[in-house]
Amino acid sequence: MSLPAGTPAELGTSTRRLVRLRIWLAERLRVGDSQLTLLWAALVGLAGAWTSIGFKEATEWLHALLTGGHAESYVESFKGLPDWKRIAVPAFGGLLAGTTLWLGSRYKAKAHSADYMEAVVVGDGNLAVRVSLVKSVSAWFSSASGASIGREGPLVQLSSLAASLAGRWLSFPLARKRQLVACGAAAGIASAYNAPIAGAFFVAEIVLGSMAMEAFGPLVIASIVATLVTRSFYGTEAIYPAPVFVMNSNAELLAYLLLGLASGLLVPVFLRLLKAGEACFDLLRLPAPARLMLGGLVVGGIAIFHPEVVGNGRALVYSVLHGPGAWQLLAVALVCKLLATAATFGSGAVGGVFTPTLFAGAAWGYLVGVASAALFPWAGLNPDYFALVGMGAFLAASTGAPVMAIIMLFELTLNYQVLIPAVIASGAGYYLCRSMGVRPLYGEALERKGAAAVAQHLATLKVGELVAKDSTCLPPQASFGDVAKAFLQSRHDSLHVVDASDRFLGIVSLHDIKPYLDQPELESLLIARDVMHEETPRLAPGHTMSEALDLFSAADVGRLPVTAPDGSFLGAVTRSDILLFLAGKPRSAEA
Amino acid sequence: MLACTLPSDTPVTLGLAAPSETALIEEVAATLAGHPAVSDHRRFVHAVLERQKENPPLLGNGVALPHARTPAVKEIVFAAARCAEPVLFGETPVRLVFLFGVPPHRIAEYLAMTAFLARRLRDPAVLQALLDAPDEASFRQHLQGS
Repeated sequence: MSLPAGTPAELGTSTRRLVRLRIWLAERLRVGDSQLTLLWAALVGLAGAWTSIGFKEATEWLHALLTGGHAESYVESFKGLPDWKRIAVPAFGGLLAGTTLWLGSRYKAKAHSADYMEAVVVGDGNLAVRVSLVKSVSAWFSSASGASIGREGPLVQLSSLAASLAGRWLSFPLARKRQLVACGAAAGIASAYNAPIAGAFFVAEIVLGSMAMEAFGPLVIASIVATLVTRSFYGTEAIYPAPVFVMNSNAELLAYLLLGLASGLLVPVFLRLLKAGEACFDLLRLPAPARLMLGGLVVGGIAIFHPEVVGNGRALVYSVLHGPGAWQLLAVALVCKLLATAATFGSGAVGGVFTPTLFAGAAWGYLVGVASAALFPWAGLNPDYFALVGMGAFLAASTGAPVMAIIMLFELTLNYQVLIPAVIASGAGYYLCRSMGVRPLYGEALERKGAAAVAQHLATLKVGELVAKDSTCLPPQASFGDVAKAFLQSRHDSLHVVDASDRFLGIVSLHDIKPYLDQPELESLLIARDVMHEETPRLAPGHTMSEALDLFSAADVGRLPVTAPDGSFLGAVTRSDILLFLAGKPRSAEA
Repeated sequence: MLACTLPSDTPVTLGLAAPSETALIEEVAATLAGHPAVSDHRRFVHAVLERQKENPPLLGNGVALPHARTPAVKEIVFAAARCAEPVLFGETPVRLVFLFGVPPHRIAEYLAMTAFLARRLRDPAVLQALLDAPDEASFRQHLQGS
């Protein structure tokens, strides 16, 4: 018989008090993975905001360099350019953007996903760093040179990339990494549009297809933190300050219902135009530098006569909301802007069409308002209000995310009165488009990336892909004092006991040992093996998510060990990870 | 804290003599050989000796509490012994041995019993009374307390 290799460390008074405090907190505050995810979401929001600010500032700097001035908006700076430069700047920007994509094509993503939506929906939360950077640099050239495209694409891409890198660095399991990337996307949208709640809804409705609280809570936190940081940098004003909205009678709601239906009718035309732009450029079979330069030439050509088409369309939206002038001029501007957007988008420029969509909605709404006011002069309808409501209706119908669109409209304008007309018009536009079988803007993008593969991939994912390593395992010989100390370092209420050959033996429950923590004499008498539960439920790497959830429900615990068929310990999976994964499943995968 | 009462039929052996730690444990365990709760005596003794190898439970002051959680017992079983001369457990001389076996699922009772024994045997007066007890009945009485 031998003496123990070392005298077990005795628990000092302070350690004992800490363990007691740990138990007291554990019994009153259930701090689990869900709460910790909120903390990480806040940090992702912070990182997302700063990447967005960095991209915006870099774009402004490059724009000033290319156009030689610091005008208030892109439209203003283009108005000050000679004709040849109005063509040359977007064409040169397109050339640089295309060359970047062409040079970066050798970094084509293989193992890692290259698109933020794909990463959240399909992938494992690992965004390809080089591909993301190449796309962002390309978007930088396009945006700064006046391409008719939104900035939300690169902002979301960069923000999601920061989140993905954090998830990888922290060795998060798959579900939490996916959630972090989704938080990054929400932070990107929120900081792009100063819209915290809409940012969360954008990802929940469009990307995740789920409003489950497990997934939605972190999105809101990331969005809010990103917005607060952005506001501290750019100020708290609404992005599109709108005139005070007044509704004289409920009968006006009927007019907004018609506006929603009218928006629902134009959206398919808008989406077809974008696809047609792509098809035209595909026919030319040009390399990326020539293709994007041609897109820039088209935008520049239009800009000679209508410089208001350059940029994402923010200045245009502002002008529609604050006295657009003659409706005929607005109609021409709408057609020109749509053509410019189709040319930029079709050429393959990296970016988004969110802001161009807002302009199309506002302009179309104003035109419908003018027509309504002419048809029903006794009703006292104001076309300016139609422009405001039209933005939301068009956005809802084209993105297929009505809740996000309504909240976005409210957050963009900070105008509460517009809410009820916006709900009615957005709902009408959305349902009309759905009844016509129109594929929404981002749904189309996801479809191209292989929606069927999404469903298949998710259906085959097993518990083994969610396993997280456990750094607080106990050897069976661990003394009672060491067990108590280990609980101090872990936020879980049970610890896994694993032998020297990595074989899982059982768990030690905090609940069992807590009445005896004030007995120092037990430290030399008991070891982890004495107080461990051998007959504990465990997961196998081949279990499906549904089987895992059943096991969690039956066991009523927050964490379960995962063991290989030979009994070796692989790690642990938490209930939160399973719920996060299921909450992040797209609708297409549920069938 | 869970209350604990030692089994009333606890075998107590006074004046035991054994040449080694293993022999002493086997002798004390032998007093439980016919116990109805011990379903496999050989396995029970083996489990106790294996547990000794991992980390011998020594309380100090010449007290050892060899024990094991094992399916070889159906209920908690307990036996006590006092040696005539100290027996070395490693390098530690031991005079009082309290051996027990616990079924694997009875973790709460096991902890309660270990805690009770540790608390009781930490008391120098109790320890002296056990060392001076003239017979088994007196030994049991001092161990259980009032």
